Amino acid sequence: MTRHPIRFIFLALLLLVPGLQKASAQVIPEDPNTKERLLLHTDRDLMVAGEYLFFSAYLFNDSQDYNRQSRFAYVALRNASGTLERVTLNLEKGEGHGAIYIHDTLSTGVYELVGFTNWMRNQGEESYFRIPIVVVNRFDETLEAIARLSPESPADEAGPLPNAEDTSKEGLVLHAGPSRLGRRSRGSFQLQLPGTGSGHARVSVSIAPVASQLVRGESWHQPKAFSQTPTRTASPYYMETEGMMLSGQLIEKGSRQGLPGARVVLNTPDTLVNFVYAETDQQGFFHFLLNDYYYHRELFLSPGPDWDGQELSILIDDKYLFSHPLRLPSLNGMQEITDYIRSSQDILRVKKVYGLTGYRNLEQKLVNGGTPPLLYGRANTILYTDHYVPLDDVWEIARELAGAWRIRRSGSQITHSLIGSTTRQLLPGSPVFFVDGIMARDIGHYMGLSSPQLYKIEIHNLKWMHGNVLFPGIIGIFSKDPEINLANLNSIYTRTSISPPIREVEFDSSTTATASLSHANPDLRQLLLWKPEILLKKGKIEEVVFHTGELGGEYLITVRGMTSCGKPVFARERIYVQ
Amino acid sequence: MMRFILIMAFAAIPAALCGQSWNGQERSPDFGPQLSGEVFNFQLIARGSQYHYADWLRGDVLLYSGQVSTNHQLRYNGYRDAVVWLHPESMQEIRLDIRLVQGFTLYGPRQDTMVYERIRTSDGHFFAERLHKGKHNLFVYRKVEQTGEVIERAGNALHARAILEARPAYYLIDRQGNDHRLRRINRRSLLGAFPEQRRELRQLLRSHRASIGNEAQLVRAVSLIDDWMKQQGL
Repeated sequence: MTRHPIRFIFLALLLLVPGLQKASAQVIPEDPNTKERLLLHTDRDLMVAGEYLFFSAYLFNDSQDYNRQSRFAYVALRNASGTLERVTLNLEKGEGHGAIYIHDTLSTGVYELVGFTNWMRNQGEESYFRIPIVVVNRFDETLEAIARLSPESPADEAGPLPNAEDTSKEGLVLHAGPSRLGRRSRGSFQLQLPGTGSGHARVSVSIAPVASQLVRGESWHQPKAFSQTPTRTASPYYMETEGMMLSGQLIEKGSRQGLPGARVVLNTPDTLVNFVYAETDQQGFFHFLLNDYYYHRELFLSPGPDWDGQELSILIDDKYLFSHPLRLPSLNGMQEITDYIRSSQDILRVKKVYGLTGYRNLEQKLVNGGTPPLLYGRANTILYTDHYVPLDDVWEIARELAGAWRIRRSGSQITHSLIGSTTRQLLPGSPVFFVDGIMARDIGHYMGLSSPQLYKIEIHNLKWMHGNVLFPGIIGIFSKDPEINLANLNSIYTRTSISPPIREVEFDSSTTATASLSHANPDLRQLLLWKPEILLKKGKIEEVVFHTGELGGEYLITVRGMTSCGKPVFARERIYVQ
Repeated sequence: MMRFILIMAFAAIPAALCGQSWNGQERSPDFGPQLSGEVFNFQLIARGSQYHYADWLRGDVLLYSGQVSTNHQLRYNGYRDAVVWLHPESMQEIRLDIRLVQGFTLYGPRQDTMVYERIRTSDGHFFAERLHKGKHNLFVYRKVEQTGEVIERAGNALHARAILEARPAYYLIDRQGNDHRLRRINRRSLLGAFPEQRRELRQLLRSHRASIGNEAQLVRAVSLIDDWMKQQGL
């Protein structure tokens, strides 16, 4: 009787064990054939450079489990010469949104917005979602590049032509209010996902001039089926369910062959000794699972110390390297488009003068909330150099202040060792030496640092094991100006960084409302509304409010999104601003 | 011997699952947190064991970072208050860095689970096994102490052999973090932790015929007291 509740707890905990394993480092879905599909929705397809392009991303994973699908999506803006902008999206329940600034230095031409996840890379570029974007330079008067895009350009996956009858096959219903609205007035429309039950859809809405959406590209109605190309089996890319992955390959410089069974070390400059390593697979590929700690930090990668003296090189895997050629879109209604472009160029000029942006900068939270991968909790000895009289160099500091640290010079070679704090005997081997958090090779570079240049020295004189790596003691020196010392680090290191999922701006619906109603400023918005993150529950009606500006013309309400079952939904309606 | 084989087989199941191949190609990399600690020689010439449970047990380690490192061979050394990790490749004993370890769980051979946490009491910080979780938490510090020394002759040499004895210490810790050490496992010692409700609790234990003579009975008594306090809204 007494033991029954305890047995129950024991059993419950035992059942939790597999769950704990998944929670700690689950990056591989149970079924490696799991497939993902990403859809993108942009606010416009054609725009004058100098504004933000807003977009939403919808992920469908055939496991239909939010916990077993990618949490990050990558969106790139590219043209024929390469990738121009990169954005990482944080996907919440399969949905994410962001914006890319279309620099006004971009030349007129065809660009492409490409969306994918790390997992989709196993399926090849065929599985990526691609939208052609036509960008026009603000100062381009000839528009020759636009004229070259004839309506007959190959667009085998051409989307639907926007017209008033367009509604989704999935049955997303859009009830627009009055189709003719006055300038600076309030408008609204209703959205409904028909049916009953617990299903829902996540959609985004844009209201932009019809001419800005005349580019025909990848069809939203008929999204491509999951790619049938075989999944990359050797050195697969991992599903980013827990954090972003940094991958690469360790190769021998001469043969360019991958080096299997080696360790690659990752450090980042910090006031803590941080250390994480990955082991290379049969092809020499390695993968690091990165947490928030690594955002906005420079990452130093190097082969493990076992490989010192060998000519090795680390190739960082570039997610944004595309081999597929750009798809040329076709433009419908060249005259209408040309007129739209010319007026947009003028409007943008005026907007720049008045400082009308139409977006709001988002407050950025302080980063580095993640957990540093510590090598030890606290060093055995920590010497803050300011607490002592100034000493000329590291030799003197070691001799006078750090009794356990022995440094010897033999010819041009400098060796050092530690007296173990537990055994009081010399630890076999040389302690591993860190400079400002980075594992350094040549201690000789740093012998000249004096007390005023150093902030602290950490001495961990224990025979230390971290994972499978044995350290014959650890020394960490931290300088007051890390930049100078890190510049000394030799070419063994490959430096890189990751682009964290941070949204910088969002469409400013509040100022558009006040600007429209107050009449204090000119309201020259062409994009009347961009609203991502709308949740439509089956059978429920969602009302969306917007405000027209001072620019009359024909606008298109476009709603795009995805149901909880992964089916794309789509609806369009025209409105006229008099 | 049979028992040892069974333990090792049981311990190997999750390891095999964890290292399952991806597409049958290669072993998947371990993205979990790594354990850190000192390579330590725990050998001691002694009579008695340094360990409450001498066998290596499969266990998980909860780090202060909130990460869980799973499937390791662990045991708790009560003499040095150390979590010992048997390194799977070098087979060396590693004393885990207590500044990184918040707690650990050991999975016993009889499907029993022992949860250890690093607790702070008026007697100091140490790893203690949680016996009861509730309004009052009951912990036992599986302490092993040297109680004496015997001199033994081996050939012409004399050896001093330490005498080690298990001296478990039981702590009741309330939600505010106030701790009360139970000097002995008996009713008086337990009721001493509740001076204001002493009479009512004595009645409660009597009515449930709850004698307190061993650890299991102590756990039951604390559970009864916890339930009673919840009913009373205390």
